[in-house]
Amino acid sequence: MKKKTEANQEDKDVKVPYLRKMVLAFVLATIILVGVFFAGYSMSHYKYREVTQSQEGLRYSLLSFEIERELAEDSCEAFDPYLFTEEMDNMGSVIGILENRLGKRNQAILNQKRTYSLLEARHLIYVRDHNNRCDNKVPIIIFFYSNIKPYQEESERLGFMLSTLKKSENVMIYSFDSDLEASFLSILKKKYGVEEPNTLIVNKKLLTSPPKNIDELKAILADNQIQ
Amino acid sequence: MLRELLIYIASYIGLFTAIFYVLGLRRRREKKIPKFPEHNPPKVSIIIPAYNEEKGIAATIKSALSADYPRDKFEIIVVDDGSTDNTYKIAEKFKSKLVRLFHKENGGKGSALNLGISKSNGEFIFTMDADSIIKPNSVKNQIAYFDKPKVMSVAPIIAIYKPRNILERVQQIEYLLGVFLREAFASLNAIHVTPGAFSSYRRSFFDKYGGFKENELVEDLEMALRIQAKGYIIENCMTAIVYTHPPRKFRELAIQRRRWFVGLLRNIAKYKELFSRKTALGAIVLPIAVAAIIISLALTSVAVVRALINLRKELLMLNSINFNFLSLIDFNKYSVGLFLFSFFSSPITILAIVFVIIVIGYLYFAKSKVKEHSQIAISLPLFLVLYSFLFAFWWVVAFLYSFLDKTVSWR
Repeated sequence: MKKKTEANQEDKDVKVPYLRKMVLAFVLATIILVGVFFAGYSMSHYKYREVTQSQEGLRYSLLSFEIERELAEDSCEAFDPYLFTEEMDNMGSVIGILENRLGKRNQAILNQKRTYSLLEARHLIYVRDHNNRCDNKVPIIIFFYSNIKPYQEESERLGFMLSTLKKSENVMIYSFDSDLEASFLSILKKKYGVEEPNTLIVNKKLLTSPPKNIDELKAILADNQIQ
Repeated sequence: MLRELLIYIASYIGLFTAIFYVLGLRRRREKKIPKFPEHNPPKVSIIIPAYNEEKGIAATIKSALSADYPRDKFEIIVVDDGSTDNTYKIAEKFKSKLVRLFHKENGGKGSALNLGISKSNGEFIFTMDADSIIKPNSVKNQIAYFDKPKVMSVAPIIAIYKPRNILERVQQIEYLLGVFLREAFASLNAIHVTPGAFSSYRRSFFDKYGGFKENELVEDLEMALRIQAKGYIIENCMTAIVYTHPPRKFRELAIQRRRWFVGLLRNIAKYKELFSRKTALGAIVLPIAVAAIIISLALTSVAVVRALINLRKELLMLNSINFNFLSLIDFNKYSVGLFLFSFFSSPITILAIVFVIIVIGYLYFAKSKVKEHSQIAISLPLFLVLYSFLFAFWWVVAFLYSFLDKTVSWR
């Protein structure tokens, strides 16, 4: 009897119970994974609120700057188109990352993109007005890109080229998502005759085909200086 | 999207596995450590098969002789498997009442072990690699774990002795992680490899089921799976530490891992009955091992294809700027914040951090057992950067060899 009990115990020792551990492990793993996604989402959401506040701040700064310029007598000489460039570039990059994190169709992100594009357009008008009134003109390139295949790859290439150009040339570059539904963008596209993505407008001249490299773009810029 | 999905699936499996093993270990720690039967110690035999091991054989025999064990119940058997160097001559210097030496024609490790077993008298057999170094208490501590009749084998802790180059450091961390994993497996009776470096076996198992398979690529793994298939227990002794010298060069390491992984694939197929058993080994450990292999191969394939596509794209983009790499450098007051946000908001990055914490936890456990360890702080970053690539590479090679049914050699 004693031997049989010992044998049963040995059998139990061999077949170690593990089902409870499995269930607990599944539950804890699920909690951790959900926690990870929640942490990532929370960081993105925090950044989204930060960008929203930055956009408010930038809107005020742009308006304030325009009014100061209007009131100043030597407004042409005091003009600095690059004053808000870094801040706007950063904002654009953050929105790009948020698009990847939260989804391209996320309504909140689309609204942010519209607001950002509006700020860009406001700045574009501001620089265009300066070019019309003053002699120290600033070259302007407007770029309509797309995040949708089959345009995406070429858009990334052109965007990369323009970012590099900006570091070496005094030029203002404004990039707009051609798929973004916004009335002011439709007007802008109509004004310059933009029919499809990956279109560049260099100092009001619509390029019929995108430049192959940065040298070609620099040559186009030189050939199409603002009058 | 596919890459991200595979990573999330792999991460979920990894999280489950890590937590499951930690839970198993918690129960294990409650178990009493068995005591060595001082009043009636059993006879033990240490079998050392050697092929062209002139560099390490002397140190190995010396460390075996240093074992703290009653001399009348102890013997060492060295089997020279047809070495073409001075292995036999060096071993001959140790011939004595305690150390017996045999020479045979080259036939592989399995055949050398079997010859040693046939010449031995011990109730318990230790197999020892010819480049292993043991601690004096390793033999006694392992014998203590044979307290239950169903225990057929006991595995030790394997650690790397003084790693010097990058590859050895990567393996150092790998082996230390193995310390945790083997103890976790033991808590589930799911050990599936009894390391050839220094494992012990009950002789009666060989008498009943035969010795090591000759011409087997991984005789230690085959033996462990055979023990499991017959329904016995493999224990893990955390107080028996063995130091081994890992491959130092990439080619040697690749050859070793090719042998291990092809051997694993073949033996998993041979012992596929284990998958249908309602044991932790069959239901969890082995399926997870197989899943890890499949996911690793899938991720590698996706990564390679993606890398090739991205390479084309990157080349086009760089060509646009005349490959002016200096122009890529762009640093302003927002750069750091942007990078930190981009990096740390990604769930993949957060998961990677979680797994680094888990690895550190495992290493902390292993460090407490393996007191002598060299500069883990240097080895860990190397492991984190290189191991996944090496792992994927080894498995790709193993699969190719298995799929093409190519012959895999020991060296």
